[in-house]
Amino acid sequence: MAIYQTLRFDFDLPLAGMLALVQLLFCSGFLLLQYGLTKAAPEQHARSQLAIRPDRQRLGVRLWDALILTLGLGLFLPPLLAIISSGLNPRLWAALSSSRLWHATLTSVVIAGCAALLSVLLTLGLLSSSRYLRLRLQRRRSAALMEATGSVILVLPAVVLSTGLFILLRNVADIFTLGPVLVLLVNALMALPYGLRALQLPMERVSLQYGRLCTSLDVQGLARIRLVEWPLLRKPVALALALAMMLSLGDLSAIALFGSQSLQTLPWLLYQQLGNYQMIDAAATALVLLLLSLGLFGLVEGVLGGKDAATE
Amino acid sequence: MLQLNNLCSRYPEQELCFTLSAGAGEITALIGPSGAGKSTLLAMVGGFTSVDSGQLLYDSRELVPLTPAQRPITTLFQDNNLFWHMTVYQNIAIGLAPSLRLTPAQKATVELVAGQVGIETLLNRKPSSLSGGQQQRVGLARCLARRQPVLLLDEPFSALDPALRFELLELLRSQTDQLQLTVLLVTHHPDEAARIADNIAFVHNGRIIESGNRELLAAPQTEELKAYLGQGSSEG
Repeated sequence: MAIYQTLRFDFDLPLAGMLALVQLLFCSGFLLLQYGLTKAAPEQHARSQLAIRPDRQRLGVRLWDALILTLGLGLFLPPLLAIISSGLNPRLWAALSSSRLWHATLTSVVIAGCAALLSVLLTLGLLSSSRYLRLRLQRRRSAALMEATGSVILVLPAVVLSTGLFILLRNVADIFTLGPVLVLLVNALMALPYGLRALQLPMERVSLQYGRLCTSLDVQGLARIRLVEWPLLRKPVALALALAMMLSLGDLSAIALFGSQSLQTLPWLLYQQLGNYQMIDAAATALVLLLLSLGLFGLVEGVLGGKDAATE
Repeated sequence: MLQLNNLCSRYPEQELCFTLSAGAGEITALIGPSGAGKSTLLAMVGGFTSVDSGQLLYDSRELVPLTPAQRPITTLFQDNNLFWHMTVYQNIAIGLAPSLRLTPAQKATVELVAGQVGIETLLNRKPSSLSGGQQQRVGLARCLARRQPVLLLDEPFSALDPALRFELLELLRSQTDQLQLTVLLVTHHPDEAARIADNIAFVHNGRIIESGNRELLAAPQTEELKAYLGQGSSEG
């Protein structure tokens, strides 16, 4: 928020750059701490589809699990119900007839769709290369390094990346004309770490199981994608695409810097409506955003992922 | 005729060098302890591992520069021979046309080999609904459908019950005779080798140190083969 205000209200670029650097340092520190404290999961557990719980028959354990889940739902459900109850008000239809709302909805869907597609394509490209390095050339360190580049966004949060792009491009192009492309790019990069995690193991599994057979039968190129990779990977690809769309639909970092009167997404519209105390309109916008997110997630994962697709 | 002339592959922990000849219509069984290099020998012939020196010839044609798919060879691996999301028909057909767009003649070949290995009624099923023996028949059917003169088998039937294993080995024997195939069969079962192989090669520490016909197992010459067969030096 401080970076946003410094850039958009004060236009103090040196201060914005410094704040972005502070944010970068914090994120790097926390990421290093996470790598230091986390132990790699045993190989067979990481590869198994389901967590093994031999203690699941014990009543005490089940009650404890139920309590934890209830507490989790207690944090998650009230705001969700608040959005629905405040959205369903007598002036909802009037708010829903706003062309601004539907224009923002369309912009959100287009940006989220394109960003998700770009993110998944980048993820597939990165993982295809890292898979080749790891399994064919036995260069595990290079493969891990390549995958780490996809997770660099964890160190470089969307707002920092957007600030960098803002400072870099402001003298060479009209930032607000390039807005949609920049928001799309930042949103696509934001989703990369999640796409990598959703697709890395399934892609390696396909290669380990079928790579040698495909080579011996000359099932390569498009035939391999059509007959082997796509049928086996459509479920995790759909999950990666749906996750990327959700992240982009809810993003307020990039759009806060590059948004304008002509470029408005639902979160950006919601933020403006809340700032102007248009609570009824904001409730309607929040309801549309919620329904859109849930609907698109279900649609993308269910249709693209196939009839038995479900989030693992 | 398949010939390996001092065909070598070098690894940090081991150097493997093989010299071997196998003719058409012959089954050559490769026996030896785990880690001796039997599967690596097949991988070198099949093109799945690099070769550092030596010659690999089929009818005087050098095979080393060719990719696995370009070699006149088909391989039945120990596992992962079938695409589990495809039907039995597709699993056989993909050996003939990688795009699965088959000509009428290729479709007829699929039906024919399915009949030869006794799976003609299973063509619309998925591998997961088949027994272990039926799954291996599907893999064998694809190998036969490809009509390649050299067949490599890396312990493909080792997980099966003895009766089923011998049934499939008899099937392999009859197809080898009928199609005049050159077969290299890796096995951990000397009795298997004695029953169907024309030649037996004993692989030890990256080399073939003893070879001969089926009589080899009855009168082993080297201490290593005697030890492998469980015949101590005092008994030999």
